[in-house]
Amino acid sequence: MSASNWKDALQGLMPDKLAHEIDIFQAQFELKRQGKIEDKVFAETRLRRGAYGQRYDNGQRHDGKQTRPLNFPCGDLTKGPDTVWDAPGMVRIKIPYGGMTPDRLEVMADCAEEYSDGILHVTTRQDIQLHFVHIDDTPDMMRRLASVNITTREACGNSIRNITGCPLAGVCKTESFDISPYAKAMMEFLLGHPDVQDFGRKFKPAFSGCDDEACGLVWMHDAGYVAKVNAEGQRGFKVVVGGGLGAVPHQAKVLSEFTPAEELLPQIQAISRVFARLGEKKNRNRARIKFLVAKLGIDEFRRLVEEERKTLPHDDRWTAFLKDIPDHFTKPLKDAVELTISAKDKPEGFDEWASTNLYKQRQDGYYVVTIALPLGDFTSQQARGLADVVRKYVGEDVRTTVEQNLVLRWVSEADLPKIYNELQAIGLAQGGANTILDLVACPGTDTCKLGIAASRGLAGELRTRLLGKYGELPEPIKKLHIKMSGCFNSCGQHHVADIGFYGNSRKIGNHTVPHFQVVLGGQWEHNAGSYGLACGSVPSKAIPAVIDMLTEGYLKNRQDDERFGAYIDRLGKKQVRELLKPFMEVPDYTEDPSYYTDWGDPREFTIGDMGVGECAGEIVSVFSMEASKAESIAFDAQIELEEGSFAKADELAYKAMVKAAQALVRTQFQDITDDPDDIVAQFRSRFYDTELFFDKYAKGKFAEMLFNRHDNPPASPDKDQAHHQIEEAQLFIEACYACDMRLSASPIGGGV
Amino acid sequence: MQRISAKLYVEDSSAVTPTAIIPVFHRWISDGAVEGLLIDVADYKHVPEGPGIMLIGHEGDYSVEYTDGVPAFRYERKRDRPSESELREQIHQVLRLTLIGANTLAENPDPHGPIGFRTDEVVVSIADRLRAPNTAENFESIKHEVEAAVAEIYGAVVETIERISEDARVPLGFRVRIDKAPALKELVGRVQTAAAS
Ligand code: HEM
Ligand code: SF4
Repeated sequence: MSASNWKDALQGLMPDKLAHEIDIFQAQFELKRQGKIEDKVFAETRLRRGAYGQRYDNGQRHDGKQTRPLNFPCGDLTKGPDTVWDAPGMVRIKIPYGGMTPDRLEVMADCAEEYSDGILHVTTRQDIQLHFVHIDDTPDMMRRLASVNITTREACGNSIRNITGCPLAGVCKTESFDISPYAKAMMEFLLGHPDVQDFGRKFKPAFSGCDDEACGLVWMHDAGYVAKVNAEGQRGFKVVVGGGLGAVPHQAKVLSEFTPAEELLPQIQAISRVFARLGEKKNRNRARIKFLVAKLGIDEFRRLVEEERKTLPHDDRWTAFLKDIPDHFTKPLKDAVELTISAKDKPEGFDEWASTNLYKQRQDGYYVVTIALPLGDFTSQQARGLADVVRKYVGEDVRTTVEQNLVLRWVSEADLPKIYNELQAIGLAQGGANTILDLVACPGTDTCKLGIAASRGLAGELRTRLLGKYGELPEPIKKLHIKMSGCFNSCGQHHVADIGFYGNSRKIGNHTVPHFQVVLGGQWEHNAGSYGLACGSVPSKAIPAVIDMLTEGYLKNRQDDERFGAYIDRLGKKQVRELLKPFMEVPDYTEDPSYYTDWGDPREFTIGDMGVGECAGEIVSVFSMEASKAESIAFDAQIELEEGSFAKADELAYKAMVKAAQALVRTQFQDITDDPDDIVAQFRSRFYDTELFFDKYAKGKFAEMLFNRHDNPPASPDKDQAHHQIEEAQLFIEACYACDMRLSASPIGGGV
Repeated sequence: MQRISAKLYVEDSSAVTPTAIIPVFHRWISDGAVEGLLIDVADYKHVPEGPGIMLIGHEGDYSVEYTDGVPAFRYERKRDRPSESELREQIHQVLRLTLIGANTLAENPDPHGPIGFRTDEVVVSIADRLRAPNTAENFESIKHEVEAAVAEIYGAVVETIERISEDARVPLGFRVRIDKAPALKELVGRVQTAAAS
């Protein structure tokens, strides 16, 4: 090899545009070093290129006893506000509709080995993430990825994020047609498009081949597309907009029952323009398109999109891709041959693996093989082995899934035992795909700056426990989905699991205890057709016992074939809450200190690494008393919601917020009255205007929820609105707890 | 070079439980038990034949890993030091930190009892597909540097040195077997004295 750097070595192999962009990105490093680029600008530049921050990148870390500085050699040089240059970061590699090839897999494996920790991590939006990457390494890494036509561009930042799509597209029994070429065309059309550069917030589209299955999760996306063929045999999509998980989950609304394929790209362009023009820009907490759709109403939003569409100058690319759409976007490498192996010749464990990890394709004689990845992780060495398997048995196509797995498609039936053996040899033949074993978890406190509790630690622990008893689990339990997020942002998609969790914390005496909010009864089917509701917060260490209790109860008390979600609905939130109550107790520190650490992390728990000070002071017991009242009012609101009294539910949710605000105000002003106007005004002047309530990331977000509801009570709230109000109340109460914790804390240790 | 690593295998696989390594590495961070800026612990014990438990650092990462199916202690240098311009010197330093790290773990008061390491076999890898792709020529030319660095520390004869894999995609790797290898403690004594002098 003669070239002395990757830029020269890969000359001619990278698409010019990408190569040029990467050169500019690298040049900006130098300008940043010279102080010629502002921190904020550099941060957004980096984010738009997929280089994210990671936990501890503010240059400090709590080691369980105290916060200690991480003395990186770069000194004061930063790569964003409060982000140290040398601190390791995360790189997100965009994988449109999850589609990869062996060549790409190999390059990603090389990059993981040379720039990261040798692990490729599949995310809940079908991307691949590498962690612990130094910013100085990112330009070369981007070049190597660009040489196989992969971009990290717009994987983060306020733009169109990865377009997700069902991993079974093209081979699925229930799809209308293969969505892959349409998702690909949309990705190519929108990447770097001028109309998508001015969003107030990120925008996440998703494609699904049918209405009923979960694979595309279209209802929880900013824009969702469901393949449809109309009466004339014309291809098109049902289009939904304004869905999303995050702190306040929204179900998308139907924008159009049928948008013909020819209109797919101009329509998203029109949507983008409306969103860029009318979407919130200043308050990023209300900037996702779901807020715009909720504010305007879907009818008005549709009208605006239709108007906008009329004004768009024609673009040949709108329809050019249609000519190239082949009947089969992917084709088999091998002929379909029946499996005729005798039982005794089958490899050990094959039948059990086959019972959960295979899907019989629409096309006779072919199967989809799911490679179940524990916590979404696989190694560079496994990636290379997998690339060999892909080339040998299926040719080109391997995909990521939103359940953090991989799939191989077009596997000839006769090859299944051989594939099983070869996957087994590289540690990729784990069974239990799409079962309770197939846990989904966001990165949580392992690497995410916003993480409160250890979602991966919990998932790892649950996995170990479930593996031990998987064989004995009854079928209805095996079928359950468990998902968890490290905080309310919901990256682990816990709202759409049978049993979901998101991390939070509670102060007990002088200590902080990691907790998970239990979210039950979400629906994975029907493209994430309904969301679960929070039932109560339980200490992290009690979660395994909670799962045992819930699953045992379900098994014993379910009626006929009742699904878990239906069972929870039948029990009702009140009863569920009663069931959870015994698990909410936290033993005294001296009695069981294990409750005061998180799963997989022996350090005494702290939320200090989120940028919030450590706590050592006495708790303000008046606050805790009143705040717990607020919690119980919020709980009553849920009961009303369940019983269909939406106005009452909304009113109670609001009252719960006022109560929590009052609790906080009382810590400063003992004589606060019970008048809501008074409470809100006092809260505003004492906690909002002073920014005491603000945390580092959410700023005043949750306070604005209170002001909004106080100033604009809805005339006759519907189910959606009441549901949102309850979610907001819960978040506001959480934020009051967090604020009290901060204010009653006295920072300890160096560098806070 | 982009990445240089070295590793030693444990004597008895059953002596190591990954879960028990996690608090040890956290303690190393608090105590600054090994060289370099230590950042965090990454837990990959769920990944079969994976990197196990990693102690992520700025200059390099330490790990108790399972990539060959057997637990091994590994140190991987992530950043070149300007003062170490020669490849032999870089390999020497990586070996030094591997030995010291392994010994720190061996001497750790672990509830599961002491962990012993074999010193008669060392694996050195170079993951740098630009400067040192895994070719037969690179193996031949770099082999001498690896041999020399090992011989220097061990004061013993390198018996064999094998190329780990001929698969060009895999990092360039050297499996070094040493005849009459001194015990870990003795080796650490040497590299520590050498560093101090
Ligand atoms: C530094 C790390 C991260 C930060 C700061 C972050 C931040 C956020 C925030 C604030 C939201 C809520 C957005 C909203 O709906 O308004 C969100 C949602 C989400 N994020 Fe992350 N995230 C991080 C890492 C990740 C990772 C690693 C994944 C994938 C494993 C991920 C996947 C998602 C998904 C799937 C959602 C919610 C679903 C949706 O509305 O589309 N995020 N993230
Ligand atoms: S849910 Fe929270 S902890 Fe998990 S990745 Fe998202 S922002 Fe981070």
